[in-house]
Amino acid sequence: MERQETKKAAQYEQCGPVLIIMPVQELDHCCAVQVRQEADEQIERGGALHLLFDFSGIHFMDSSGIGVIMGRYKKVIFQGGNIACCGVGAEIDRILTLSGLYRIMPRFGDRKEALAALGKKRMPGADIPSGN
Amino acid sequence: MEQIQGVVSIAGERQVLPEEKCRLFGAARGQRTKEQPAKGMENGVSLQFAAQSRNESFARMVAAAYAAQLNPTLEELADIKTAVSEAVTNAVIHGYGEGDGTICMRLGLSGHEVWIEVEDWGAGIADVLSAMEPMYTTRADMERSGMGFAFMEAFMDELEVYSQKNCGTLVCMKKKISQEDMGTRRACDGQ
Repeated sequence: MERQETKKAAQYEQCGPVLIIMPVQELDHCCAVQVRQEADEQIERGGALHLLFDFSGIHFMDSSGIGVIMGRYKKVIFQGGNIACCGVGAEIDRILTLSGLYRIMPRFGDRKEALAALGKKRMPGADIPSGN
Repeated sequence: MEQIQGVVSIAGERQVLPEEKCRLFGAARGQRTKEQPAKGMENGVSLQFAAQSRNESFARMVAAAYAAQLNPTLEELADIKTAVSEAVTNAVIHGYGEGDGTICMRLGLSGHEVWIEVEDWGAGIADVLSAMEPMYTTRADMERSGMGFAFMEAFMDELEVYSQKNCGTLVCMKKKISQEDMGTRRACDGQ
């Protein structure tokens, strides 16, 4: 079997205003560096407002993953965006619980549920007329 | 010569180790690599590898494979993997600042406990106690969350951190593996 030289750390899918980020490699420091760069490129290109992290592709994450999520959160929050997650297995759940990330990133059962919630969410600041 | 600092953390309680104990550790350093992990440990394994990010997954898989001989639960195995990943990541990015270097991981058993040491000969930590505070990070620029030591504390039963500025850092972790009972799902089940 031929080895893929430039294996992506995550898969990305743009769904309206939502960018779905699905890590496919164990989310450690090594992979986090990649996801951070790839995700920022995708956000820039697709102009995503909200982010949805789909963890169904991985069973391991360490504190590096927390950094990636926090960093992306800071990116979208100032434009009135939100983040959410789905596909959380037991291993990832422990990390997310321990780090308190659920406070800023609500958890949903699947993509459909999460996308519906993100779509409904009132965007803070969206109603304020520009230039006052 | 900078002073050696040592902090032990058991069940979330951190305590600065007396200078005497740190000095003993300092004297033993240097000869440690070729030795068995620690006194009273059985079946010692010692592994040296380049301080590169891509070796993080290798190190945690080795530790998990080693711990498998005690037939841990999946959760215990996940705990060990996370803790090792944090320790090795710290060595790579803080110890050596992503530059060249060697990391040594030593594994040992004592009864139903796994003992894991991760050592580097890098920058060392200026203030170990502060560094262990959750959310403390010197590399916010790299989007480090500052949760490394907090995770090691949370996932392992005992954590000792020794460090000397400009000399390096040694992290020792202990994890008790539960005994088989009440049909808990074990990592080795179904093999």
